[in-house]
Amino acid sequence: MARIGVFICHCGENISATVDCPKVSEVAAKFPGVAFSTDYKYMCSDPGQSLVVNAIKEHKLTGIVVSACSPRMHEPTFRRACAEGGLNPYQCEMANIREHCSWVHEKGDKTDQKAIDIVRMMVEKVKRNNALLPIKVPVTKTALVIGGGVAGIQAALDIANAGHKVIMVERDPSIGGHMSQLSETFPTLDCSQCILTPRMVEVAQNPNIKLYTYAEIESVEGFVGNFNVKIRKKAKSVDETLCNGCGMCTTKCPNKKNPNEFELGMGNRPAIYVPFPQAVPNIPVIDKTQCTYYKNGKCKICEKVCQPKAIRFDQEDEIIEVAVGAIALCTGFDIKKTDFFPEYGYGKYKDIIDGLQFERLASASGPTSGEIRRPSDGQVPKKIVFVACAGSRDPAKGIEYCSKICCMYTAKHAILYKHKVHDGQAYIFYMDIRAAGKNYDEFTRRAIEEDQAQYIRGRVSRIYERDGKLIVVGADTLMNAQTVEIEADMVVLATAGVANKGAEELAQKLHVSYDQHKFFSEAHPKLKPVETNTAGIYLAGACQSPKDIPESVAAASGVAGKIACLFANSELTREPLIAMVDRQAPPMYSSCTGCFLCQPVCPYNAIEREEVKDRNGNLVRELAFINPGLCQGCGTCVAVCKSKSIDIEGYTNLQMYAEVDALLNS
Amino acid sequence: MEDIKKLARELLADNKVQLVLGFENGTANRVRPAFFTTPEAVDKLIYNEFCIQNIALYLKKDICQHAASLAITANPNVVRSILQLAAENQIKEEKIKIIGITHEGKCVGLLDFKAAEEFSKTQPKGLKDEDKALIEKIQAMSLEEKFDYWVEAFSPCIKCYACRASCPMCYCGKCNVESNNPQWIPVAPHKYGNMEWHMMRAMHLAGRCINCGECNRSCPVDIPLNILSYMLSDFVLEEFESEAGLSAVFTPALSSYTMVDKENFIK
Ligand SMILES: Cc1cc2nc3c(=O)[nH]c(=O)nc-3n(C[C@H](O)[C@H](O)[C@H](O)COP(=O)(O)OP(=O)(O)OC[C@H]3O[C@@H](n4cnc5c(N)ncnc54)[C@H](O)[C@@H]3O)c2cc1C
Ligand code: SF4
Ligand code: SF4
Repeated sequence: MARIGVFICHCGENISATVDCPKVSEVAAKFPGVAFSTDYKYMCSDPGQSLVVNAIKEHKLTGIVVSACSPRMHEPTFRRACAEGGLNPYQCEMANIREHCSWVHEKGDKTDQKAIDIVRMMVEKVKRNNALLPIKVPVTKTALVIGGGVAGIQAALDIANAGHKVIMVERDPSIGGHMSQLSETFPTLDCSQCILTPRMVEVAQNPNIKLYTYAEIESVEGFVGNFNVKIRKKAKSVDETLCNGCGMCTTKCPNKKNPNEFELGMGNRPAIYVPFPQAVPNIPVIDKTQCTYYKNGKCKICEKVCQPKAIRFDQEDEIIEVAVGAIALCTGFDIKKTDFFPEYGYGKYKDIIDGLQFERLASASGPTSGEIRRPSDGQVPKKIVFVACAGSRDPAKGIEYCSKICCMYTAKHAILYKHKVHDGQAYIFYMDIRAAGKNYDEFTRRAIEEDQAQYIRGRVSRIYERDGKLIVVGADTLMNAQTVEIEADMVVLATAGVANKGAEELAQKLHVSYDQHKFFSEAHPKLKPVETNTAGIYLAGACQSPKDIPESVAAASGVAGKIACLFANSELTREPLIAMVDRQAPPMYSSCTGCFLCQPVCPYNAIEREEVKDRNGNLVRELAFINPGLCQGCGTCVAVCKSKSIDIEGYTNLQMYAEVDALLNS
Repeated sequence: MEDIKKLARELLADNKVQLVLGFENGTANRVRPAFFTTPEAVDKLIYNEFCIQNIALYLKKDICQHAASLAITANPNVVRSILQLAAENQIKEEKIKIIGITHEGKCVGLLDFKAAEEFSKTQPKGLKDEDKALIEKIQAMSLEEKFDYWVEAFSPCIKCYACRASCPMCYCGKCNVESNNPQWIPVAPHKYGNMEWHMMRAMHLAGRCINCGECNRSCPVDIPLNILSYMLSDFVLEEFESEAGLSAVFTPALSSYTMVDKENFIK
């Protein structure tokens, strides 16, 4: 016989101001199977918990219903109390009469009745609870870091320095990400390469880190602690073990007129190339789409000049399989290109560039050796216009969010411009100056006060060319929306930060969720900012939303901390609230028909095929089996299974039915 | 008919199959499904315009499950059923030989799954004119009228479960309707209990029904269950571009999700 205890909490006045708690307790005491019922001011307080523990012992309770706040708040607390009282912790249910009742209703009989109904439902449920044991799974103490931008670098170094193995997979020929393209960085104006390259070298030298560049994720299977990952290492056409990075090949390659991606098309590179001088690793790759040999079957000059004989034209993509326990997603972001803007000429004006291109112009290692010269004719622009929020905060363009970094880097650009072109004038069209952060507002003030950037509050409606000048037409909303026209020599669009190419496919491979803009979603915007919804997969940096360097690095260290915690034990304990497929004695074996229509619906790939064999080893049946390490207990399979062969522990069909029944038949 | 017999005989004689599933003459001018295990027994095998029962039903029965290999005389309904059963992992290609028969009763020889898929695409679903008229009538109704129509239509149901017993897709070992803990569906044949039973059946068949019409034929009180299933199939085809019984590798609409799924049914 069930002996259920009911504990009604007042939550100070949160509940009791609206719900008549003593009355609810009185009514609940008469429910069939309830052996004890009481109310108390703060059930989660120490004395409150003792009340629960003692009542379990004294009244020989078999299950408890704590009628209080959301299980999201205190379920763990009361499960522990339940265990302390000597019961299985899963013999405890929370009846949420706060969020679901007192907070959303006025005081009155109906509200009391609703609280009573909620309690009744949970009493009926808990009577049918099973004792459950936590699930243990082993942990592979190696982390996979996807993306070698500043976020990935930081995460990899931190995890490696905590003593764990790290595998880093970078899509480009070199690690470094966008930060390696930047000139100076706000708010301190220190040189980006100077602070980044030591970190890059550290990654290459750290014995705990295995680096795969020019590589991508092919597939991911498994679950927290036990992922199996296939990495596609694209053919570089160079034997990395032999190449000594002398650079003969890149100097001698006759096919030099290929648009340079690192310089965003503002320069050329050979068909065999290292993206930038400080690249890590300093090993060239052959761009097969451009190489003369791959196109015409003739050339092979690089092969001839390569002293260590490292060129391999017949090299093929390699698939590498690794086992990892945790994954850090650090794949960064991208920015909209100028061709996104019809009003600014769809990218047809050469002297309208984006922010990253300006970074390259300002960079000492860039195509102009750090002189600000416009792309069309190499002239030094004397009047330059910066357009902030180009695309951002513009629902009409489908990007309603703020890209966050542009206000700051535009101020930086105006400062760098003034430092380089003393007689030049910078104008900045902006919507708001968003400079929240340590020393950030001071930085934008500096652009205005010391470097005479002229800020104009308003959007630019149109840019067109007239007599070799770019005519920028905008409105000054602080001057009665007066039309402003500036004859500029060059325009820099602070274009919206967007999700990186391939983000969606990657998210689907990893089964992590992403938002409508294809940025990866965190598990909780406040309390789980670096976790994804999939256990064991974390995210840091600009792949989550546009972020600046300090934020990306902080998140990356956060991820490293999380992973170090995960790796601190050799076994993981998971909540046993997962799906189970029915099993019975032969000849039935299970009510599962083996249709496997449940398999494709599982968002976590948790459903496997189990073969039932007779004593002679003949296959008798194929049945669905749910991998307890993978299942997250979402319940989708339960809804799909026609024979109702699947039950979620803690939320079985029987329990749910009893709840509904208790509600309808009250 | 002779070519069907010849094929069946050869298959048994050459030990290619242990069993042939087809029809024979029954009593009083009726035909009935039959299992043939020797070449001699095949003398009794028949196929004519009365052989309309969807005998794919028997593929999930013990006699067929225990046979290592079998052949089946398969009209378009049976072929579609086999493909759908294969898609749902209920039958393997190695085990079954399909003796294909067109809707006009012409034997097209043995079909492997690939050929069966081609065959299925070319064969009509055989909806009767009165079925079409009824569908049109129901489609013209408002949502409320439709609901009332079906509540009324189901009310004579005596819960004999003949529809379930005759359906090749109703192969669950334990049907929900038999579960009493919890009791999902009330046992007694009353109006709303009937409605629950038929709704459950319809939903379980949505996107899986191959429209053989067997449920309607077997119903002793003539409920137009086939119409309900047919309309659902049509809806699934329109909304998800998915149709059961055309392919042996197929994920029914309710078990799959694609980026191009229309969501205009969410109103
Ligand atoms: C014009 C401009 C100026 C800026 N100036 C500043 C500044 O002054 N100060 C500041 O703090 N911030 C600045 N930022 C922001 C800064 O660039 C970002 O904060 C930083 O780059 C984010 O780092 P990340 O590692 O998250 O992403 P990224 O730098 O984008 O790196 C992501 C890495 O992942 C790799 N990758 C992507 N997809 C895959 C895949 N599928 N598989 C494997 N690898 C993959 C990429 O190749 C890349 O190496 C600026 C940004 C812009 C656009
Ligand atoms: S849907 Fe149900 S019956 Fe089909 S395989 Fe999955 S558990 Fe088994
Ligand atoms: S409950 Fe969700 S996660 Fe678990 S097996 Fe079913 S569908 Fe997959």
